[in-house]
Amino acid sequence: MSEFSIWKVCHHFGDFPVLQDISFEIEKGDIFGIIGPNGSGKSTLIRAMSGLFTPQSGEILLQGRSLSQFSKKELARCIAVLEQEGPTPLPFTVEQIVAMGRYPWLRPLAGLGEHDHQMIENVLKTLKLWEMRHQKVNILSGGQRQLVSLARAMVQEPQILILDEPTTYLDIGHQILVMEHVRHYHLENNLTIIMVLHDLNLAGQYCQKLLLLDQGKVKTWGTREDVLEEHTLAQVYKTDLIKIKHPTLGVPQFLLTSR
Amino acid sequence: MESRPRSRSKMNPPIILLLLFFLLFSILLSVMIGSVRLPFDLTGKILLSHLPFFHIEPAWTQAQETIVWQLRLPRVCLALLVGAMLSSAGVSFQGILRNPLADPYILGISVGAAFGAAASILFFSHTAYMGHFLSRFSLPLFSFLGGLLSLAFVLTLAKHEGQHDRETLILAGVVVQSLIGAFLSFMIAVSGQQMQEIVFWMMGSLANRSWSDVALLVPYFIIGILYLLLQARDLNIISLGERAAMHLGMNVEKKKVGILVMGSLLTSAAVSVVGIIGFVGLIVPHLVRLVVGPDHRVLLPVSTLVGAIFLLWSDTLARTLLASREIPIGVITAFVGAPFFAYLLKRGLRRG
Repeated sequence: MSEFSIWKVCHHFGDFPVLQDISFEIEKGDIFGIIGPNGSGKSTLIRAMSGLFTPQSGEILLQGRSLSQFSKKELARCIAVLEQEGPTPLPFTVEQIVAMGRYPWLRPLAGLGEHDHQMIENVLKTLKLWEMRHQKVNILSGGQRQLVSLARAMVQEPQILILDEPTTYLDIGHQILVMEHVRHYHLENNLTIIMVLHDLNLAGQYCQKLLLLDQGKVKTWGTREDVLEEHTLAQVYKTDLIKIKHPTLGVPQFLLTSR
Repeated sequence: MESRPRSRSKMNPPIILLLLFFLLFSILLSVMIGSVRLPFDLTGKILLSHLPFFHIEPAWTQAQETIVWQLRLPRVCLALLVGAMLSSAGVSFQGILRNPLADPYILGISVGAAFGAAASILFFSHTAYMGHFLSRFSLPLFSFLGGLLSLAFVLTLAKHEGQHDRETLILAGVVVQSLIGAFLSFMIAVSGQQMQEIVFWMMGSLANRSWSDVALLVPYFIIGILYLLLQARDLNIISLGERAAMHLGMNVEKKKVGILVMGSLLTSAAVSVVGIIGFVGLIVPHLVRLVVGPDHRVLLPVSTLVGAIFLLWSDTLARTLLASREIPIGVITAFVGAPFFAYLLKRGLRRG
């Protein structure tokens, strides 16, 4: 059974079709990347998949059940979402922000238990945030804040982690740092990871399967070798690019050419 | 087992105990001060004699007893309640709308309440000598309903596809305020001799209030504060952003409307008894947030206490600063609040 089955999903904003006849599947344990130009519907698609809204037609099945049958809490125990930017820069401490990830598991009014504290401590240590757990997030850099967000998503104990352009605002060092942490997390927990990426090279390195969206429609989807194809990408992104093989990893990578 | 960091919650009780102590001290001091100055120990004894388990032989005059128990203490209690209600409502409005200018009146409750009060004054003070009697009961009722009516108006206006966007809420508040404000101005313009009464009510005052006014507010206070305190953790989650809160499994729309309605109930109840007192619900939460941080589990109870103490001292100044007459309390809250707020703002900015 697939983790996610998306079947003929359509959605309009007013008269504008943002998602048109979207169908694809994600297997359990995949690292699944969603790529496509600005305005191709990537963010809308993952918002629908994370249950923020119900598309006007079509069906989204999560573990064989229709997404709309899940309660909000059930969904939050299953799916964690990491957004583009780190947490709002408020003077909460790193630890306070990360602890909020336990919210879907807490009974109303109950405080954090021993298990919750252990979980938070482990995650903070894994992401090397333990030393700065008492620091306020509003004085952290964008890269550190994104790690705090990742930590919050990890203590949520999800079976599926959705990342919406997690590296957009980060320098290359932090891009790789965040992606490597995600990869390790994936290896250790064998969960499903879905990420929207702008960077085709990161997509080539980290995602086994990819979906290419273009103007609200599925252009192609499948293994990275199938999807990362020069001509299709050049056509979709309306720019010339050269495909090469990564010298050490052997995965497809792209060079941009100026005109 | 190593000791686990429990963030700020450990320093929470000392702050609250300190504030409670200061609150009691302020009550005593405020009851002493006035046109008739009472000695410290006498005031303390009169107050204690009304508590259960204290048997103190009265060594004071009936007049002194009346001043303490019938004139000053109800007013002190009213100031504490209103201060607590307005600042806890302010915390929740700022928490939900995440706008630094949010105060309890931002959704138009003040204008709605003023409109209700003006209507009550106009309709009932005409009916001969029954007028004052009627308006004594109808005025709080009318202004309470007026406040809730404008809230309902704002919520309906801001609703789009089942959701209340926070920017739209604030804009809807502006729209409703200007519309009802126009009606209000019209009513004041045609009111003639009641004009003064309406304007005076709008400036807010705690003068000539009795235990019955205090009793009127107590249930709203208890229900409202309890409800909001129970939402403290959820308010923290909402401050991450609404979408983040939804991803954590919260029914944000329901929670948002629930907290706004409860904050409005607190505000409307307070306004209906004492009129519109500005600045408390705006600056107290900001001030407390700068000191104790953004965690609503601390911010909310501390703001409630600080708001109570702040309004008590404002009212004490309002009734004692000029010997012959009272100063409108809103003047005091703005005079004290604005410069202090400016100072905190500068200090906060410099710290970056």
